[in-house]
Amino acid sequence: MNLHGLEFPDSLRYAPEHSLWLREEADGSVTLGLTAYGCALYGEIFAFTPKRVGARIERERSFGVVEFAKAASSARSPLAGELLAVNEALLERPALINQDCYGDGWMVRLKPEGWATVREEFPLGKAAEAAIDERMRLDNFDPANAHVQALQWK
Amino acid sequence: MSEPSPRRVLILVASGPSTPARCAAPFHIGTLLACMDAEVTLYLTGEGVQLARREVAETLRAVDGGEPLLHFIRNAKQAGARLLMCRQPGVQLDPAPLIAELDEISSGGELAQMILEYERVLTL
Repeated sequence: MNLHGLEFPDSLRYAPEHSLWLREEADGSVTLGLTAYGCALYGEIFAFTPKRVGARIERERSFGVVEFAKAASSARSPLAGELLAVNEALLERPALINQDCYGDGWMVRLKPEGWATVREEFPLGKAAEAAIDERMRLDNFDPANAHVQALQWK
Repeated sequence: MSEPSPRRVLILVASGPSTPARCAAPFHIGTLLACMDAEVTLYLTGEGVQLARREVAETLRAVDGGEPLLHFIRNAKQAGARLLMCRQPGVQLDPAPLIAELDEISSGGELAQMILEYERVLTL
């Protein structure tokens, strides 16, 4: 799916309020990463500092910090769970998030709590279109001016 | 491994206009800590009190051509940090020239209480 020039793979689930994508893995874990919309808002990412592997992440709490031009933002988790893995490559090359946000730029992997109960809160692919579009509308998203908007974005 | 509940961090901002290069760091660190779910209080004390004056916050820059200090203060506030300023005994304070981002003007006794209660205290 393409929204306002930004790509959102149909194979992923989305947390539109967090500008994150989620992918269910075969072992029951869930991988999280920033969507193309999140990247557009942040602009160039200078650093991503995740919490330590093994940390218990509460829902709506930070799983890391993203630093971008002139500001920083908490990366809040849309679900609770144990932090199983972090993308070590981002410590050296945080710009991977901008370059390949759905691939090598993944951020963390969680062992989710109560996934069966909460998974339907995260629409799959095309089903997320309306919610993402609404998020963009509420943010007054302007693709031509996204970098400036990032400074006001939470 | 269980993540500890949000920790309280008190940052004493003692740097002021005489050392502009040191003035942005406390607010940036405060922003990052707040983004990591710490409960952050930035406390302006000593020369740092000057940073609450609007004319100072709007014009002082840590690096030439960089953002004014108010930018860093706003980032910290947006991340959830509190901004307090030390009341100087015997000094009448006109709140008009102070930045709107200031949450409270506090006494030295309240600062002492926070130092005892907070899990981490930094001076920057």
